Amino acid sequence: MPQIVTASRLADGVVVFLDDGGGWTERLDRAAIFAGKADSAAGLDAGRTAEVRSLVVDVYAVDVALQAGVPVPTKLREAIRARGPTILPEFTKPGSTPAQVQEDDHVSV
Amino acid sequence: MYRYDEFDAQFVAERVAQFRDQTGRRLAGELTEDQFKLHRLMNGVYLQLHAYMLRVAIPYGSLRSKQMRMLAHVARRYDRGYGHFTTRQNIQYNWPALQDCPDILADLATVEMHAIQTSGNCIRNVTADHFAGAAADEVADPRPYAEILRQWSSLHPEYSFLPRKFKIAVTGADRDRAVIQAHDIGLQVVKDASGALGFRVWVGGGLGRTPMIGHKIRDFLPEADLLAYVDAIVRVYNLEGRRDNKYKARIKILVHEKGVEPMREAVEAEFAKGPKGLTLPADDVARIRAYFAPPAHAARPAASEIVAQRRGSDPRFAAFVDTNVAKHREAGYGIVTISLKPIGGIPGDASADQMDVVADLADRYSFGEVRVSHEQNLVLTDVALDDLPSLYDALEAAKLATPNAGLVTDIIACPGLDYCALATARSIPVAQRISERFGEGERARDIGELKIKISGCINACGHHHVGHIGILGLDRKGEETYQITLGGSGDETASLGDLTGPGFSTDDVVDAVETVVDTYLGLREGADEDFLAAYRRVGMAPFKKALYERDAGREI
Repeated sequence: MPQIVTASRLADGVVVFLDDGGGWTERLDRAAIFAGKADSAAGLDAGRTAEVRSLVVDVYAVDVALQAGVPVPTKLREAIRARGPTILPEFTKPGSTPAQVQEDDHVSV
Repeated sequence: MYRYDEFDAQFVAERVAQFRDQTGRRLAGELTEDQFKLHRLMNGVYLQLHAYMLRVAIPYGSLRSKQMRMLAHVARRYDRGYGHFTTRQNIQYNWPALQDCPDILADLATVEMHAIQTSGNCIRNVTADHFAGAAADEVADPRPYAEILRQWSSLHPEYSFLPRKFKIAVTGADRDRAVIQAHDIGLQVVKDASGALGFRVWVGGGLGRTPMIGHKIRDFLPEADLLAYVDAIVRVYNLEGRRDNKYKARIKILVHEKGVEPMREAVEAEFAKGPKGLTLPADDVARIRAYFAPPAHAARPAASEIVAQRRGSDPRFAAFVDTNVAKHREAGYGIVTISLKPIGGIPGDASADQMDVVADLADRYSFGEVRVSHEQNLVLTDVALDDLPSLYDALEAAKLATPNAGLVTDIIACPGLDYCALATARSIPVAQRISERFGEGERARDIGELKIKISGCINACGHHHVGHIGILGLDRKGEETYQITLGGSGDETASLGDLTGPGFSTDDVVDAVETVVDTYLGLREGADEDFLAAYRRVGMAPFKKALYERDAGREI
């Protein structure tokens, strides 16, 4: 199953994802996608380095399924963590749902 | 209310400076997370699902209006414009940045507030009856004792690293509004035959994964021995409580494994060793009590003409007075519950603007004080009955006048999987759907007093074990599943709820709750028999049948 690597940003606690450039993004749709557990090990190593540098805390890998190009976590806890509280739609995180990405695509970036 | 003396003020200021230094060193990479975490938690800063969470202490749930305005300021400036009032009478902010926390704590210190001992294996915020000082049925105000316990337990060197967290609650009335029997120590202020004040003492209550009702180990403890006796209990626990297993480390497990009588004997033996300087001097008790002196109530007629007139023309106002206004010890005054449970809303949440409104209304109508209840509502304790119509109108304008205190929609819910890193299922959406199902009309009023409490994991922050209807959200093979318990109670007749049977899916749980309520309505012996009384009379069978044998019933 594909995986992404996530963490919490140290300074503000915001949920972040490892991106393709080895940096950290708040946008789920820009997370680096690893083909499986074996591949995400390199991402976890990068995460641990960032932990040592006090950029992020609590690094771990999350199983995802691709939906319209967005890696959506398969477990409810991780899906809510990536997307925001289900009770407050106004706090839905940008880039966290396939619908939002399609909208962005339509507007054309 | 209690005011800081110079020592308190200096201590809190020093603590803020320490935490600022610790946070700075963490952000600079000089401290690792493992090194920093303890300091962070000792200042109320958790890392949750989406962000950090800051839990601010509100000792025994009492606030001055100025403090409430500061809570609004923190919500507005450092968070997302709202806060969440908790079952420990505290407030939690869901989105603070770690780098802002020292500034937040510095701002809070300007109004004598802090986040010390809102986390960790120490004595947590001491809770009390939210009607304290005003309730008609009260023997004495429990808050002076809660304040004495707070001062004694703050950074107590012997009790800063207990086997596990430790919670104390105090009430001053026979009617227990503070769930004292579900606490590590529960205290009830009573008078003996000679009229002297003292305490009934319970020990070993608690919810969580192993719920237990506390055991009474003293019928009367003289007032002067409060600290010496509580000290003896905590000392026995500190020495004998388990440290090998986090899940068996609370005092309730010690009491259970040791036995109530041996526990009582151990506490009495420790207590008998001598007061160790902890006997309360009467002068000091009087000095603390003076901080909680009743406000200057005016002489007023017992009934209000203005209220009577408005009642006649405004059914919703009448419903508000019936459900949200409790009897005050002074004639012509009432205790007003401000519901933080709007129909379909998030239990316990208040916006910064609403906090400001409540602070203003406290100044105008209730001597500048606000209470936070463990049921996640706010309370104005000293409102002249003649002021009720104008207070109601002001609350209504701020969407704070829902007439549902104690009714089926006055639901306790923990933050659940929408915020909490430990949760296994969502709580808030279930509360919202139940609230919408029953609404605030005639039907909800007809159901009468009914306490629904929802937790999103077995840690039971939503007190589900003592809900008349308790709901526990679990993760069953990746799906949210909700177990229902019936017949729990957190009052003076405390009891743990009984499990109905297999859990319900998120789609079915609200229907299941409605089935339970309809079953109650069908079997009660009249509107005077509330849900809990009816359940205790008939037991589980009819509810179980209605929940699980509906199809079988149709075939008959």
